[in-house]
Amino acid sequence: MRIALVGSPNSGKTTLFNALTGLRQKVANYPGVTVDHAEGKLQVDESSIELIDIPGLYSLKSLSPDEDVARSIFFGEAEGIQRPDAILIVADATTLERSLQLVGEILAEGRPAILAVTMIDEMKARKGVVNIGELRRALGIQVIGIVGNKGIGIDDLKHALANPKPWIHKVAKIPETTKGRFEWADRIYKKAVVSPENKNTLTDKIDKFVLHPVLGIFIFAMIMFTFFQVIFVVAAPIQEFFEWMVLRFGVFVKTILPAGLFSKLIVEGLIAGVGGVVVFIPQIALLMAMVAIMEATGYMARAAFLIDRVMGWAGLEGRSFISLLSSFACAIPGIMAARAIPDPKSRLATIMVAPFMTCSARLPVYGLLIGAFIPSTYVFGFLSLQALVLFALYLLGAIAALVAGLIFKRGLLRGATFPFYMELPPYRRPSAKNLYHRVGKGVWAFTRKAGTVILVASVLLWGLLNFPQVEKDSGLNQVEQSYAADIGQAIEPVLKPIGFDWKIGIGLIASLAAREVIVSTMAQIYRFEGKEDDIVGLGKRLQQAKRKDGSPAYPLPTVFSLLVFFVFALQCVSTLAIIRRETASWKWPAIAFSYMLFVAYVASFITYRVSSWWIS
Amino acid sequence: MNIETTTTLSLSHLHIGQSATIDSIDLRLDAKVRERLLVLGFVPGSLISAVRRAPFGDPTEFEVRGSRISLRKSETQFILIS
Repeated sequence: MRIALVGSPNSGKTTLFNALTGLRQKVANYPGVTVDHAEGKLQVDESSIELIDIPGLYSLKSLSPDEDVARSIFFGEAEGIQRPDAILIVADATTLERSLQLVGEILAEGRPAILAVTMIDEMKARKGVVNIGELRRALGIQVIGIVGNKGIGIDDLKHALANPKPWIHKVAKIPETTKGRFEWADRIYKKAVVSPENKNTLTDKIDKFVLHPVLGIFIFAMIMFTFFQVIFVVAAPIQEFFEWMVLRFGVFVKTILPAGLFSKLIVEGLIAGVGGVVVFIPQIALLMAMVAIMEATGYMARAAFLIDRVMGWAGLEGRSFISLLSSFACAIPGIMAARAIPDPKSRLATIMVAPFMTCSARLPVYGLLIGAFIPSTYVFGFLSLQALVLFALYLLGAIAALVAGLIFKRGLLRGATFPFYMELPPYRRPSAKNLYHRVGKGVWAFTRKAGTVILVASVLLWGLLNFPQVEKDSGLNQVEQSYAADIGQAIEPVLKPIGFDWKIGIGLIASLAAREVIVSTMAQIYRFEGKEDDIVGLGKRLQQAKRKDGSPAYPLPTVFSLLVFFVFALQCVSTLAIIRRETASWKWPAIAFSYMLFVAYVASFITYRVSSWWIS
Repeated sequence: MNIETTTTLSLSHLHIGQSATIDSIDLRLDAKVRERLLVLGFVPGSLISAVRRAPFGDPTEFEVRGSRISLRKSETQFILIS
């Protein structure tokens, strides 16, 4: 039997789905977390049940693309997804005064249904009461009170799901209009529920500060700021230790493998190349943890509320901001999150600017360059200068996203049809288990990318850098004679004006697959410089790298220009693929790639010129 | 409450901390948008209170039917209260 979980956004469907199936779909505390469907299996005694988790909806008359997904699955119109046999309606106990109407709308469809009332614990804490028996009588279906993240009521629910017979009940006729259903719902509500308190709750008290017009902005800025300080101050030393281990490992492998091309491929291509990227796991993990905490507590929706006006100036809305903030982890979930935006033009504009937000793939690049070239001093004695530079890069990306949004909404995507509305959920304590899974998932995705895209690119590059082979005693430099050098030198004229040499050119081309690949490219190219076996980190090698004329290969203007290029350019095949999927056209990914490359080039040019002039 | 029941004004005029009853949603608003406001709980006859405004004056957070929902002025001006 197939059962779909249907209910309002943020009513706890995915938490319940995870509790029932043992799966680990993403859960967080803001409306619109789930934007796609997920399926899972559940075995109760002899019956096996297929559960389908779908996005939340405020009404079966869907408005936003995520609601479209939910609606089409509900009615069995979704391609390749079988119509569910029964419906598990999920309603948050604390918002029943609104959501009972939706329960009525779903019941009116006449499908076998059961109602799970979630967050019973929170309801009690806010001095509200739900009379489950009364609800059962009034609705004519089974009603079970649960606490999804604590497993309370889950067993009862499982058994109810396995015994579908008492599901279909004759109910008093449910009115057809929304207004009529609200009147119908109000009668039931009055009998079955004592409203929870909203005033003087913990959420109310916290919001007095967090959403205060002046203090709120200050707190927001402090949170963002701490974010970057933590990434640099906490993660960098761990990363250095990882790097040292990778280098040691490379030396060790070299001693046990017979000298030759194979040993070179393993040590230079794989260990140096892939390892150079993998060492940034501490940064990735911290970033994921911080994004997960913001999402799980309910702060994300608050940030969207605070910033909505600013987004409005750019022609976007608060929910675009949730999408953009999610893009800090990776543009792909960020772009997917835009499904919760009802207005098609605002949604498209959000998709088109999300890749400007600094994603975790940029962290290794920023981490490498900032770590190597920005002194690790403290401003005012406590603010890490490196973290400040990192903050500036994030800020630059965010400003670019807003400005680009403004331009899109003024030009190609003018106008808005649908309003902005957003529910602010109560604050909730993030569960340690959930945080652990979120961080684990992020780190795993990063590692998998290192083991696939980055690995393949590293091996390809190794080939291009090592062939044709030069004679050992010819005195020629292997990198300079390689095929890769031919390619790099071919595009060097285009890169000269923005301060890049052909070696960076090789990295840029390689990074079109994924941004981190430039790190593994650099790790390979500069292994040939100096003594190969030295336990010297990549950052140090870059500092010491010299051009032919003896001048440093990475003067500060070049470093700045390179950083700025990575802020703007869309070097990510996966992002282009997801833009194509979400917009169902090749036009938008093509536009995104081109305009971002253009912006990157122009911005790098300006950065290089201005900083060269400034420093000289 | 000292709001006269005979006059209607738009929700955008509701001061922070004050409550009122929703009277109607202006028909000039798109039908889909009206329906959406309705399912969000902006139902005629429901009690509504303005909880707080975001920095720069927009959006405003409202409490209606037990939920906290924020709307922009561009919509609240079409919701009439009494």
